[in-house]
Order: sequence, then structure tokens, then C-alpha cells
Amino acid sequence: MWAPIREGNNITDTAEVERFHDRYRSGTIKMETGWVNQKFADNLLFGILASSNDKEVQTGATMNSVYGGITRNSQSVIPTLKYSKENFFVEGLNVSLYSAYNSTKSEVIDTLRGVTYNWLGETAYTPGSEDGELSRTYTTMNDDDFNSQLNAGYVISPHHSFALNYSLSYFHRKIFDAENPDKIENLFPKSLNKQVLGFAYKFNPNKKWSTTLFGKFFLLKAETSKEYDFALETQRTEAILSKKEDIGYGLATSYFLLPKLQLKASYEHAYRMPWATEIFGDGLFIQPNPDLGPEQSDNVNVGAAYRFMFNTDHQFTLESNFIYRDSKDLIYQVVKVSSPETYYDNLSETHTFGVEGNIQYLWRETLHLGGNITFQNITDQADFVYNESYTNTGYQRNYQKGYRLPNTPYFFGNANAGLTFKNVLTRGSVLNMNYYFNFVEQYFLSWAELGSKDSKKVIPRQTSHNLELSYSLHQGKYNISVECRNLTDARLYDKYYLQKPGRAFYAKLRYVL
Amino acid sequence: MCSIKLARQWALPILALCATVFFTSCVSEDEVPTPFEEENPYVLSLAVQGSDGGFTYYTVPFEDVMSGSLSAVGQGIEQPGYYDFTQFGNTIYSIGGLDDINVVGMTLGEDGELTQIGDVSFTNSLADIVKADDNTLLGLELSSSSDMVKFHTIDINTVSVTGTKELPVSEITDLKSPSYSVMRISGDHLFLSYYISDPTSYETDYTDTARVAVFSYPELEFQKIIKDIRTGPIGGFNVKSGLIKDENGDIYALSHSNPANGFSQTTKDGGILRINSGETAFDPDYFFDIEEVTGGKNVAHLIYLGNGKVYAEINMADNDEQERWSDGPLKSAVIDLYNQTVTYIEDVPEHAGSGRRLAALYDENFIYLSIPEDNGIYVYRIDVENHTATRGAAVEANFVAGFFRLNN
Repeated sequence: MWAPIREGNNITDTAEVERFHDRYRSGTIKMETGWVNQKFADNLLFGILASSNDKEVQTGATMNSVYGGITRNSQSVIPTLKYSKENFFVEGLNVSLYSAYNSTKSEVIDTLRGVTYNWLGETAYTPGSEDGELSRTYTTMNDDDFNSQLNAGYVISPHHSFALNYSLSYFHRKIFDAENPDKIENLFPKSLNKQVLGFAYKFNPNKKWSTTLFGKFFLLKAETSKEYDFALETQRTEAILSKKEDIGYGLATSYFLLPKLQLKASYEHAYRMPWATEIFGDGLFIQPNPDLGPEQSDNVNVGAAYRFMFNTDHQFTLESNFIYRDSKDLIYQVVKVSSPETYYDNLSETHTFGVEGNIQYLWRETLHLGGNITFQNITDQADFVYNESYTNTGYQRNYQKGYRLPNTPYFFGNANAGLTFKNVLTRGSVLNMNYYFNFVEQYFLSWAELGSKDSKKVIPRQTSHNLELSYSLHQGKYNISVECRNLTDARLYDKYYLQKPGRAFYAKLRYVL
Repeated sequence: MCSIKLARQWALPILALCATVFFTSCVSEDEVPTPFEEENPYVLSLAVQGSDGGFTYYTVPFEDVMSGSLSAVGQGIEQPGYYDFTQFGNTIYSIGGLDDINVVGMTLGEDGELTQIGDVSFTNSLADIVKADDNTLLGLELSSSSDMVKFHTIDINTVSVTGTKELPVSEITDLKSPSYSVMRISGDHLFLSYYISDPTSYETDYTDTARVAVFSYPELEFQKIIKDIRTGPIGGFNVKSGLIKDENGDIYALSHSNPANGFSQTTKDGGILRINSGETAFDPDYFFDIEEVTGGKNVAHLIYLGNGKVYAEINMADNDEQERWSDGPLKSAVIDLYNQTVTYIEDVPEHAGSGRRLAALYDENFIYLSIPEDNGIYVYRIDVENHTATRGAAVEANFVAGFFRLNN
């Protein structure tokens, strides 16, 4: 890691350091049992998954904050039900259902008093101070999360088919902070109920042309609390219940212009409902935002795919897509450079213009080469910003209209090459060698156009190479794989200027019963 | 034959690739404003709000602030977060607030470009920095989220911390919680003024006494609290202008305890007290009853000009009509501390404040500051001797957080 070193209050150096509070332990047991290929079901499977995680927290949202005592842990029990049946009662009617109930108990612990760490793992102690590293807390969260997805498809004839799907998700959190037992927002119930009902009709008049028309009904019900009139006499926290109902729809069509050249076009008026973490936070670095609403967008995609062969050994696929998206209330993670905390918010008006290209080459079943490149320009299109401070409250001009969004990669790509050999050493074995290359062009941590280029914080250009070797025996019964990620030990970042770990090796063994 | 077929096969992928290359190349061509040769540039810290609600600050040098428009496109030092700016000597110091805990200096480099020097960070945001002597700045950590008060001495040239002195907040007061208003050093004493504000409700229940904490300097040992009941608490929320020092070393302490600057109640008339040079008590013979002179109006911001004259921003609403925290509506004026007079500057329109340290420059008998108007923000140059003003450049920012001039 490349990190600033603090001694006392001075940033004395920037140095290569080891992460020192980064242990992560995780265990999962999964069992599934049931009936397969029966009269009443193609699949009827009951499962249970139990997992436990325990993580030392090294940094907040950026490298500016470093911790040596904060930990979080969680234990989950997840019973699942899977059911599927083709030709359910009637010929052509296929039904599937997937349900999972996830009960998770997690803890966030920041209980050191008056201690601060630097990146060398050295501590400074302030006698008499009760302050935590971030904010003294011992938070326990009990999350209940139920998800269910029902799909039904009905093929009337080769030319007409219908699909219906329904998904339900219910999330409920109970939260308690032993260090701040009276924390007011923890006293209010927090729940999120999302339902989506979708219907699609597919029309295939001939082999060349296929069109799907679809509609979706979204229902969102969020129950949480909100603080009103901050720092006024009327300051109070109240329970709020927000309900949203939206209807999305779209049309997708594809046409073979030549036998090997397919043209695709689609339009969708889409909604994206917020996730529980986005509204309620994670109890540590992600702050809740009770006002977070769904994102709505109008999307146009136009693309083409071209597949061809030279004799029978060389197989090529070329694909290209153009994307235009006009979004309202884009759900966006706000990162303040200086603060370890982030939150999600809606950006009122943005446009996305993107183009991507994809190329694949296959030689017999032995060699494959591929590459993908994406350019996407997401710009802010709001005319006004809303000032919520008590001075000059109201709408003001947005001086960054038309500028690219902060902290969002706009040009990236990847390439891969792989070799596959069958029956190496023994029959039924497969040896795979894969190489992956990733590229992300540098981008700004803030809005793109203001300030001199050399003073702006950038997430530098990133290139990384991963190598993977895997060997399986007995038609996949025994598997062994070794992987080296970030072969050249390059400095890589995730979206928020947080460095990812350097070169790392992984080994995996898998045995299928 | 074959070539036509091939061309057709490849046309689309190549077109897509070309488009990708075109779009990526055209976005990297940016226009950079032409640098100028200016020995004494004006420097403005421009605050721009993003659609995500966050602010980014750009500290930008300008040759001329009296015409055209002032923008940060392609220029200026960028700082995302919350910053308060103050200048000592030839360096502008940015003090991180809210979640930001760093202090950096910005000065003109040998090449005349604005460059950043030093970078220090603290457990909590510094409440303020004041100049102690030619080589030393004094920073203060005082926050309701910490039970310690910390003083940091900072080397003025390298912007590095050379010493820290800390004591429990409870040694100064048991009331919850002291909120910083301002500090000044005079002779061998440091005067620190504060008011009591509840850390969760922000109610101010103690408004009938002016209180200033006195520390020895440079030892920074707490000595005593001096009190006066002729007026209320000194200073207000975030404006950092309650104490000023004249050429004699006398300290003038302003009380305004008004809702627009963070008070939930007012129990005493606003006024100005004095601590005479070398003493550690309020002068019982000096009291400038501001409300009497202004007809019940209160002063929110002060900038010392010289010879007892002060540039002031006066809230034109009576206390019971003010909106809490609004820091407005303000009118520009010049106050004479010695003769106890107030003269309004009529050329400057009544304007909104920004609830923070007044971003104004006093340079060659002129005060420069930005005034928000209905259709944008404009620079005003105020002649403080003749009490006139001229409107200058338009500012392309949501507000101005600092207005400075540097010498090369």
C-alpha cells in the first residue's frame, strides 16, 4: 500500500506500507437436498447455508483514514427453496420459484478510547479521552431479509410466447448501539419492501426477426426515520413511511441482416429501486439516507453482432453497442475526499453516452482470445443545485452542468487469453491456463473541469495482469486451481481512491460429492 | 469480389472501434487558461456546489477582480470538502471543517504559480488558526464531539506542527458545550471567547454573560475566565470575528447573541467590550452599546481597518424577526470604536451572509468582497474612507470562501 504517514499531526512521509489490520476470516457451509426429475417437479430443493464473517477494518472510504481497532463481524443463516417444472399442468408452461430467507446478525465495534493509529501501525494515545477511532460504537444489527422470485413462461406457438415474473423482497433491521443506547434513529423501525411484477410478450415472426415487448410494475415501501429542522427549535426525528409506485416498459428487437450479422435495438423506460444498504447504511462508513428514492431512466441501445468462421477452426465474434441513457435521480455514492464516511444520494439529471466493443476469437476448443473496450461519458445535466444550508437556501445555478461525474471511470477495457487441454495425464481431466489483462484510464475524484489539472486528485491509470491455472479430474469431481492476481504488483484502486491489495496468490480446492 | 465481401464484413466493427477512439480522444483535449504575469494577484477561494450536495473549493489567482467574470475552469488549487480560508503573510491557509481535518498552506512559488505547502492533520477539525508571531501560528481544536481542548503551534513557513498542548474541556467550563467563537493573542496572553450551545439541540441557554477564557502565552496554561454582564456571549456561530485587536494591543470583544448567528435566545443587548493591553479583565469604563446606535440592530462580522475603524456587516433585521442561522440580511458599514459611531455604505445592496468567516480583503484603503445578488454574485470594492462602493466582476461560483492578495 502507498499511504500517507502521520506522526503526531504532521504528514511526514508517504511510504509503502503493509496493511496491518486487515484480517478477514470467513466460513460457509452449504447443504441442499430434495427431488430431481420427479413427476411433480423437475427440481424441488431445500437448502441451508450458514456463514460467519469476521473482519478487521483498516480504512474508511479513502486512504486518509486508518484504523487499528475497528472490527465488524456477522453470522448468517439462509434457508432456501428452489422449485422448477417444465410443462406445468399444460404443455409449454414452465414455472420456477426461488426463495431465500436470510437472517443476519452483525456487529460493528469501535471501542478503543483516545487511540489513533497511523499507517505504520503506531498508536498515539490521548489520556482522558473517550473518543473512539471513528466514532465510539458497539452496534448490533439484526437483519431479516426475505427474497422470492417466481417466473412463469408460456410458449403458445413458435411465433408467440409470454413470460410473467414476480419478485418480492422484504428487509427489516433492528439496530442497537450499546455505547449510545439512546441514539434516537435506532429507536425507529427500519424496513424496506420491494415488489416487481413483470410481463413480457415475445414475437418471432420468422427466423430473422425477434421482438419482445415488456412492462414492469414497481412497488417500493420504505419505513425509517428522518431528522427534521436540524438545529432549529423544532428539531425532531420522526418516523417516515415512503411509498413509490412506478411503471416501466420497453421494447427490444433484433434482426439478422445477413445470416451472420445481427442488428439489435432496444428502448426501456426503467426504474431502479434502492437497496437496503443504500437507504439504511451499513452501521459504520455508509450513512443512511432516508430520502433516497428510485432512479428512473430512458435507455436506448443500438448494437450489432457479427459471427463468422474461417474454415472450421477459426471462429470470430465481433460486437459493438451504443448506449444513450437519460437518467433522473441517478442513485450515486457520494464520497467526500476527507471523510471516511459515504452515503447514497439521487442526482437529479444525468446523461450517459457510451460505446463498447467486444472481440472474441476461438481456435478449435484449445485457444481463445478476447477483448472488450468501453467508453462511457456520464455527465451532470442539472441546471440548478439545491442549497440546504440556512444561508442562501434555495436553488442556485449549477456551475458544473455538462461535466463528467466525479469518481467514475469513463474508459476501460480488458483482454484475456486462454488455453485448454483435455485428457492431460489421465482421461477425463482438463487443464486450463488463463491470462487476464485489465485497464482503467485515469479519472478524477471530483468534477472534471474546474481547477488546474495538476492540483486535482486523480485515480491514476491502472493496468493489471492476472494468471490462473486450473486442473480438474474425473469430469470435474476434483478441482484444483492456483491464481496470481496483480502479477506486476501495480497500484490499483477501487472507485474511491482506496487501494486494492498488491500481488496476491490464491489456491482453491474443490470436491463435489 | 472477395475484397468487397471482406470490407462489408469488417465495416461495422471498424466503425465501432473508430467511434470509440474518436470519443476518447476528443474528451482529453482541454482548454487551459493562459497564465498571466502578475506580481500581486488577487486570490479567491471559490466554492462550487455539486449536484450531489457536496462542495469543492478552488483557490484561483486573478489579475483583475473589477471586470469580466471570475471562474475556476481549468485553474486553481482544488479542495473537495469543507474549508475555511485565512491569510497570514504571503500564505493562504485552508482549514478543513466538518469532516475534514487537514490544514494546508498555499503560496506563490518562484515561478509565480500558486502552490501548496505543508499538510497537517488533526483528530478533529481545527476551530481556527491565528498568528502568534512571525514564525508561529496557533491552531485550536475545540469540538463538542471531543472532551479535550488542544492547542497546536504550527511553523508558519513549513506548515508543520511543532507542539501540542491539551487539557480537558471541563477545566474551562462544566456547561455543555463550549462552542468556539474566536481567539486573539495580545502580549503574553491568549484570549479565547466561546458561547454555550447544546451539542444535540443547539439551544443556547446561557446568554446573559460575556465569557472569555484567558491563557498565558506562550505557555498556554489556563488562567481564568473573565466575565461581564453588560452584554451577552462574545461572537457567534462560525463567523470567527468576535475579538479584534487594535494597534495599541487593546482587544475589542463583540457580542451579538442573535438568532441569525446561531443563538436560540437573546437576553442582553449586543455591544462591544474592551480588554486593555496588558490586562486580563474587561475595562469597566468602556462599553459601546451597538443596539443603541443602530436602533436595535446587531453586528455579525468585523474586519479591523486601523485607527479604531472597523469594517462591519450589520444584520438589518431585528433579533425577533431573524431566521435562525441565516446570517442575514446584512448591510455594509464602517464602525469607529473610539468615537462609537456607525456609518452605512449605501452603494452596497443589502445582502445574504454565508454563515462563516467573512471573505473580504482589506487592501490599500479598499475592502473587496463578494455580494450575492438576485442574478449572481459580484465583487464589490468599498472605499472605506469615503464610504462609497463600486461593483466589479461577476463570480462563477456558489459563494466566495476567501478573498486575498499575495505578493510575489
